[in-house]
Amino acid sequence: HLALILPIAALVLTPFFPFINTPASMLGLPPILFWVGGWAIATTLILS
Amino acid sequence: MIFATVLGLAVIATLGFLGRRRSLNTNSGWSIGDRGMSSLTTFFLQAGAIFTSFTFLGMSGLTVLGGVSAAYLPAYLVIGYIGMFLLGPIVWKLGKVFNYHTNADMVGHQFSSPFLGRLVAFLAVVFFMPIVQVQIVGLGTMVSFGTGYKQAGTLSMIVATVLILLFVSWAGLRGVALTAYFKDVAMVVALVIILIGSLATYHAGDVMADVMTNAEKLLVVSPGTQTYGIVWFVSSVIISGIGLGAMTLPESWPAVLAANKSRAVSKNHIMLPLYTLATFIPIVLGFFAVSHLQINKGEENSAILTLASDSLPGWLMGLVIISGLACAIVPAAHCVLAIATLVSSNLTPTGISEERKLLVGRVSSGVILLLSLGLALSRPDLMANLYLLTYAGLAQLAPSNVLSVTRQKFVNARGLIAGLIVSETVVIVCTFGKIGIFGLNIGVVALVINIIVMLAVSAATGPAVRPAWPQDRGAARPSATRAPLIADLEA
Repeated sequence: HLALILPIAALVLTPFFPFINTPASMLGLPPILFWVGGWAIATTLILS
Repeated sequence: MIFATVLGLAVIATLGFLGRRRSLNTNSGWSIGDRGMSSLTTFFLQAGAIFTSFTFLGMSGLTVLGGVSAAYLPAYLVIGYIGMFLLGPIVWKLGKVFNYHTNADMVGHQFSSPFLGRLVAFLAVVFFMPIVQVQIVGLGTMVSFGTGYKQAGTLSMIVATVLILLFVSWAGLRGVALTAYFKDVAMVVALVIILIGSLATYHAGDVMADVMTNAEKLLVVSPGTQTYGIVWFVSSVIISGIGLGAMTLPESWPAVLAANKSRAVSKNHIMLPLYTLATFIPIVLGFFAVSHLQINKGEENSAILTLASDSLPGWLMGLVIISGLACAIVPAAHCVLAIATLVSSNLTPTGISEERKLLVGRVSSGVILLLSLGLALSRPDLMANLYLLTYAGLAQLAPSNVLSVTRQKFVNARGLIAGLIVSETVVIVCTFGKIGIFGLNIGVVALVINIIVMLAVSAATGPAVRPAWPQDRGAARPSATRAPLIADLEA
């Protein structure tokens, strides 16, 4: 269950990652959306 | 659009009425579906409770105002579902053993304090009521926009309220579940349709380039303590995640307790984080609105509807309006049912019969709906102010909910009551007094104070009186026809 700490910490601390909280564009979208979406998918895998 | 509105209301109401079963003549049948719903049904109920007209309208509006800070919503939802994955199955088991219908049932019983149970129920009702009103206002906004007539919006709010009242009274949670099937699919389909229409009309590649040129600050969560800044983002994710994960929202309870087995509860929370990806569509549409629309102050929540009307033919816009209506009506019905169950189970005199509880539940659902409608029409500012308190206020119930599913005895009912009273006072005073504390969501500050007071008072007043667990007393479940009594547990 300690694996659950990863997505919780990553999502809470989202704005503190400089490579995520940046006005760059990834595939035409803000990187934060990929970050949060990626952790949503990772959470489903961990819970599964 | 008027035809689409009438058709939408008729379809949703019909589905609601069709949900009725014979077992709904009991309080358990009406409020928690006799704990007999499948994993799929409870999945749609839970998704339906969280994805509301706020998701449909408010997310795009939030993106227009705060840019990528709107991603706080999917972030806290994922964290909340982790909490519910851990807590939900235990709550389900305790609910089945002790015949709980609400979180107030559980907290009051687990700490042997009827007063604590009533306090939890009262706070949950007060802080959760604005959610119902927000759905009704959202519905009126959509119909007013779609038809172009403000009066049509007002009329639709009245008609929708009456329909919700009728199908909730008639079909209970099973009626809500049947409408949730329709709504959860319709919402995603509508969002995808608007996204495709906007992509075709505005060309995707230019959107972020436009935003980068004209509103670069919307693409980062700004440092500092201002609204939508880093402190706001982090503290909002924490307090909303705790609020959802600790099952402090009354609407979380019917869907969990209605499941037919604990594994169904666990399984739902595996898939729900994936469903949160649907919230990214209104965020992207918000960026479309920033780069292509002239949005007046105060009209941010209509941005997604403006995009839809500019890029879709009339018949598709009709489908969007129908989906939007479902996004308002289904969560409103679910919320009303949850609040009415709290009233009938925990805010009525002890010892009333199950039949009387069912009657109280149905009557109170009517009172709640009519009160919400009246305030939505006459004093929208009052409920809008209360809505600011909703998550911060409800999150203060987290310690009592979480400690109820453990067997600890250090924290007692007095500690929980003192912590709740002090922290809710802090939330109310700081919100209405506009007292900011380093830009933090006031719920986080109040929760820290809550825990300190709870521990201090508990340390001063001795161990908790906890009921014996079933194996300790060698007895089966207390009678399903009444709430468990302390005497049952000591027998």
